[in-house]
Amino acid sequence: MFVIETQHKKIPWRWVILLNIMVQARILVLFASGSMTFTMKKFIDSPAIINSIMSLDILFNLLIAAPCLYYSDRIWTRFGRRKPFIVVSFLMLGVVLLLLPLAASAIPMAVIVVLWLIFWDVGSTFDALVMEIIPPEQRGRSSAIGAWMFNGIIILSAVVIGGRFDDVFHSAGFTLSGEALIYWWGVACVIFCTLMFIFFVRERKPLGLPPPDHGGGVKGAFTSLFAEKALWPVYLLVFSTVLMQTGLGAIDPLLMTDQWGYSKQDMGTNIFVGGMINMLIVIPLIGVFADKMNRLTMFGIGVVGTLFFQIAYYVYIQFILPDRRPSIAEMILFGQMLSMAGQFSGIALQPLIFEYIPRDQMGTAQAGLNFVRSVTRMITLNGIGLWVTTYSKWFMPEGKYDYFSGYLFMILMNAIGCGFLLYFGRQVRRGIIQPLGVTEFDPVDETQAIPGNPAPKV
Amino acid sequence: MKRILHLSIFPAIGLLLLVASLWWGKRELRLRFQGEPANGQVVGMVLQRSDHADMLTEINTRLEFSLANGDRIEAAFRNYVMLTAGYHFAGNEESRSLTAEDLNPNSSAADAPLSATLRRTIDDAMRGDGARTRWALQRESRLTGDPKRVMKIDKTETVRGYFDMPVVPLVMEMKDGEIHFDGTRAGSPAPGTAVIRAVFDMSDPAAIEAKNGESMTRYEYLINGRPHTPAKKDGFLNAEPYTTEFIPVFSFEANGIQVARLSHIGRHGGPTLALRLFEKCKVYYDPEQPTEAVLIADAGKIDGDWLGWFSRYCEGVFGQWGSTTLIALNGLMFLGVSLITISLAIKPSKVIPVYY
Repeated sequence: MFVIETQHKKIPWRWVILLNIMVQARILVLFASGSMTFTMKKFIDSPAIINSIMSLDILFNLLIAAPCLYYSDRIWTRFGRRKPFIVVSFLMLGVVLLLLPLAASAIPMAVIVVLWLIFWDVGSTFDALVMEIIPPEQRGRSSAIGAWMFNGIIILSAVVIGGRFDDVFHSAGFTLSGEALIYWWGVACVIFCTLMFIFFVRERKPLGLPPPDHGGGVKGAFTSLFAEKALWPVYLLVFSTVLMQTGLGAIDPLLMTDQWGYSKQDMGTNIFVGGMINMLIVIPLIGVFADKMNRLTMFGIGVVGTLFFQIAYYVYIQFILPDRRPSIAEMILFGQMLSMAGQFSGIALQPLIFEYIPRDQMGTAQAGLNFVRSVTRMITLNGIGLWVTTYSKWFMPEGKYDYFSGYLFMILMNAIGCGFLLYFGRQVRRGIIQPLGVTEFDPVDETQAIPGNPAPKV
Repeated sequence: MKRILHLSIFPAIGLLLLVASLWWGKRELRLRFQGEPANGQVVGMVLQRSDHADMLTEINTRLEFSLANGDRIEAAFRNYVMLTAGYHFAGNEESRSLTAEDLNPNSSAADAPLSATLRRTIDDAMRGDGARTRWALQRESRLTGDPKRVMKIDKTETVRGYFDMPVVPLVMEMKDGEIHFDGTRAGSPAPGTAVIRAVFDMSDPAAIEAKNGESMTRYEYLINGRPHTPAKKDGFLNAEPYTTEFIPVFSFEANGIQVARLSHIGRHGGPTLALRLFEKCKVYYDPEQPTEAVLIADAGKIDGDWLGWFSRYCEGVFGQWGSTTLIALNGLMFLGVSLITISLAIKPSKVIPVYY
């Protein structure tokens, strides 16, 4: 059978390879969209507006992706339940990417970028469909294949594609801009994925589809997320960690190119060399520690380490480097330190969060966590854009932006996040916040059972 | 039949894309692999705008550095090669002339008359744009204890070339190592001069503070003696808006004749890292028609900064072959997938469904 299908207990490994090629092709499209910051910069100067447009992605995660995922669980068409969303999404993404380099002014360009964000989220059923095809027993090796391919496309993207944005090719009697090349290469990858789905992927109808939801509506669903007081501490924990993960967002590439004067090819070199060090040294090193260290200690090291390295990076550039401009090697060095600290906290975070979620509220908690994460990210992304704009207005010559000042905002958010975490930790120590996800699973030891109390039934 | 049609879609697209990539890069691939190699040089830079173009063929840079102790350094360069340089003392001491090695930022000579920082500042001001000159001056201004720190940089660029050209010919004549247009021919562009003077001054901290750190205190741009307002207050190659395309002009000798030709690769936002003005490059030309040529970037030697060299190298290779490579890669992706699907059709593997 050469057509890939859902609902199988075991599938050929060649299906897994095909699916992973498709996943990577979709990631390549996402990487191509990474150039949107530069496209926007051609027409829009303000980092606040650039970050605001890109932060709409988070809003559409809630307004578009979530409903699409919800309905894809509950519908059935002759083409399947997830495939229609994916094919429509890919077709529209193809059109949008085709038009993007042709936009001649800010408004059509912004409309195209927003359409891109919307239709990317329409296709959010992609991962669900891939996971529906790959059975759980084969997912481990599939992830390994995917990770291997992912490293390959990082190299391709950093070294070959990213630096082409400014190029202009005059060949075969035509002129092709590098910007168009990047987006149209993205279109080719989108076409590849679309054709793969149309010709080689088939959804089999599940035996029992969940019944359509009839109650509550959006308001009911929203209030139920916050009605459960037991989940509030978890939301606080996630709120704090998202504050601590505040980044420069879409203006990050502008710091390197516009402010520090590096080329987009230098940016690719930074990603390539940094990625290699990360893959060959940092990740294996973290793996060694991960097995030997207590999760909470790891999380603490990660949190404090991130804050420490952010401050160190800021102080080093602002007060030690005489021209306030790091070399690529210095950027890679600090980038790796921050990445290492980030991975420490990242590894520990997920299990830590679930220690505080009662098992019967996992679904609500997951939805609530997504909501809190999205809203916090949206606030911080817009916040950093406004911060950089205001700071530059006060302290920079007219028309110039100090994107690096965003690090001050990041440090501030990180410190606030740390404050909330300390509060969380203190409440845990006092017993006010309890690890309900752990305590309710503790088996009762017979020797410690209180006489007269019946052992709980399992 | 339906099955065969189904399975032939991906190989067909894959082959089509491979053919498209060969068609797209046909000329460059043919010249690269069948052409005659020659040593070339980037001899000019065309600044192509929507309706006209300027072409730089020579750049003269004059720099004057005022140091905190009152000393001055003057240097003049032609096409980034030093012509004269001198160190003038504030007192009655006689001025001292400097050699190119004395200004070399990578020099490791222990008895160098100028400090490494100062040599780097001179190099940054000579080659760099306004931002790089500002960084250099900022770097110097922080050496508060050093009496030889630079307080002021006065930079004058005199660019010779052809301005306001409606069309730039693809192939140009060379005479005595320079691009030459026959002035007797109607519509032939006339040579012109652009002079840009920029003064960066950090000697008055209060004035700098009042301008939020802006150290540029004077800026003038004249084309053929007439004032010109550029998109950005910067040097000739950096004052353009993003839409201007920078196209290198390269020259080489074929069959005893010097030829100059526009490169088929341009760049928005500034000249490419890989094809640097007045530096060497490799050229492959058609021996039967020497004006048909392609230039290949030469990243040069690794001069300490290997990451910078790596960027230049990648930009040279993929700036040249990136578009062809990406089209071909897409074709290979389709072909690779079609091989797997065909193998699945010929020899299917076992599938265990959840239900029948």
